[in-house]
Amino acid sequence: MSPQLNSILLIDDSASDNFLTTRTINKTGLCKNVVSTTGGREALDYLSCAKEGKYPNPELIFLDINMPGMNGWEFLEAYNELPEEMRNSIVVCMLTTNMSESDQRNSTRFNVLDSYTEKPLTEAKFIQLVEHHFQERFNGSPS
Amino acid sequence: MFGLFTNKSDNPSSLKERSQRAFNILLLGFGLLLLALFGAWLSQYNNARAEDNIATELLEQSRLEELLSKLQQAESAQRGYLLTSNTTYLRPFQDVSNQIPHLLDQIQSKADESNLSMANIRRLRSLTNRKMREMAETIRLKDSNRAEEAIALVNEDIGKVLMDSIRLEVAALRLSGFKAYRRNDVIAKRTENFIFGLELLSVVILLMILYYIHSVIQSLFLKTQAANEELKAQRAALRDKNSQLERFAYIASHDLNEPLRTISSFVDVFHEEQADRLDSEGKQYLNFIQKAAERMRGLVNGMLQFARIGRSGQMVDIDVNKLIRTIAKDLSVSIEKNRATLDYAELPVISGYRTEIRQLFQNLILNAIKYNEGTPNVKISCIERTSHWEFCVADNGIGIAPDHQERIFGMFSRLHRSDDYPGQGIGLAFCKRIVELHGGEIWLASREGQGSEFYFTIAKDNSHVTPIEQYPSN
Repeated sequence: MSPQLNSILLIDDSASDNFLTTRTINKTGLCKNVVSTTGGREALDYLSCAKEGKYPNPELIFLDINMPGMNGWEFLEAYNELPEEMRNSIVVCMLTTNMSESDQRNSTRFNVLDSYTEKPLTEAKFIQLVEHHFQERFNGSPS
Repeated sequence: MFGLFTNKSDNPSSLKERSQRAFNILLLGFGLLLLALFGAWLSQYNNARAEDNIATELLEQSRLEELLSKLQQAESAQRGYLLTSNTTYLRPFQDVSNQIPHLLDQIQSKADESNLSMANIRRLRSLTNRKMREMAETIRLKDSNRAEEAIALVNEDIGKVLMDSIRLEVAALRLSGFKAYRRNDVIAKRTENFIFGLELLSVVILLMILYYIHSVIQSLFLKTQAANEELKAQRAALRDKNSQLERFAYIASHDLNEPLRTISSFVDVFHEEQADRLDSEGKQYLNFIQKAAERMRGLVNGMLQFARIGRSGQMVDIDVNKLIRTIAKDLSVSIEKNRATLDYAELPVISGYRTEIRQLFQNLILNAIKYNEGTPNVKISCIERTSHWEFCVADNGIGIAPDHQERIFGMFSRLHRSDDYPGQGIGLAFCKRIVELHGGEIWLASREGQGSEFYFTIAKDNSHVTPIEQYPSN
């Protein structure tokens, strides 16, 4: 029995991309619950809405940068403003092919970003990410 | 004269006229310069001659002086002898009578040059001779013990009269010599003044000509400068347009990739989840979609790479020998599979973008191996030209018909079905772009079925290549 993450939040304006990412994650069986949102605003609402006194605090957030309305960088700015108890996630930036110059500038501005991955997310890349960020779960609890 | 300085309009015929006029004026200036030089020489010559005249005159005057003093010496020797009968007095007399003919000759020989009158000189000579003879006669009388006769001869005062006449002649000669000298001097001064005026005029005209040439050159210079600046502005505009176009190609190909990836991904999903519900026809359709998406991805990536040419970094020195060895190693699978041989002689070290130059050679070598029905043999050689390296990649492949040779360097242009020879038709477009990036040209010589020779040049000095704006890279 491999260790599982409780929840992952996807932020991407493309429903098809969210579908494919959810499908990939589910195939690995490493996460119980994948939540899809189609924009920064919707994601912030989700993160700040408590259920039974508990904030969702997903272990991982996959964030697309290039979105209409509130884009990835604007989301990160707002996310930084959230109360401490609402932001206990590891944020992974999803890149479409590559970074533009302004993206590179922004990426150094936001230290909340934990890592980057290129689209599409494959099973292998996902497993590697989880192993990297949740090492203690893989090493700490014997399977 | 000042009509020359007015500017006319710039129509071509007047331009020709103007250049003809400028040439004429230059010629005139040259003539004047020669004239001024001649004047300077003439004045120099004149001066030298005047100095010569003075020297001659002085010499002549001093000889006349000498003649008088010699005669006086002779006279005192004669008197001394007559009075004392001491023969030691006779020695100076003898000396003088020996020297006098020579002295007279000298005076006469320079007479022409110092403008002395010949008649005066002849008189001087005869008087001198007579004086000498008179004195010699008294000495002869004394020698033959006829002293009284000798004294009587002296007392006759002939010798004194002769001596006075000689003095008068000498004075006359000296005066006429001085007058001639003055006359010469005046002429020389006049000539000098005239020449000076001439030179002054020449200098003034030369200055005017210089001013004219200056104005002509300045107007030419200003026109050239304006043209240069216009050209520079045009080039900057062109570069700007070019870079906009490249940026557009880059962004377009970048954004096209995203929906393409979605299509490919969902075809995969469809395959995985729905394949068992499809009949063979349905699976075939799905395959066509997948293949088309893959092909389009290839094209889009090609476009992306094309837009990125020249953005790989800095110009560096590249040892082409080493480069070819590396390429051969990388292509070893393809080379061995086709049993291809790669020959290359001593190749130079060139300056260029490493990745692009490598791609250039790799594309040409790969083409040479790919478009070949027999055993491929690729020969790479290089000739050094004045400002460029000229490379040649020759093969023994299927060749290219002359009609198609123009087309092959275009983007996405293919001569063969991709089933026969796979590819996207971008390899040679890349090559052309890379060669142009390095200030060179690419062309080929080929006949269908007889192999191809691809030639390209790389500028030796690539400092003119402006660094290209860096796009983000993966």
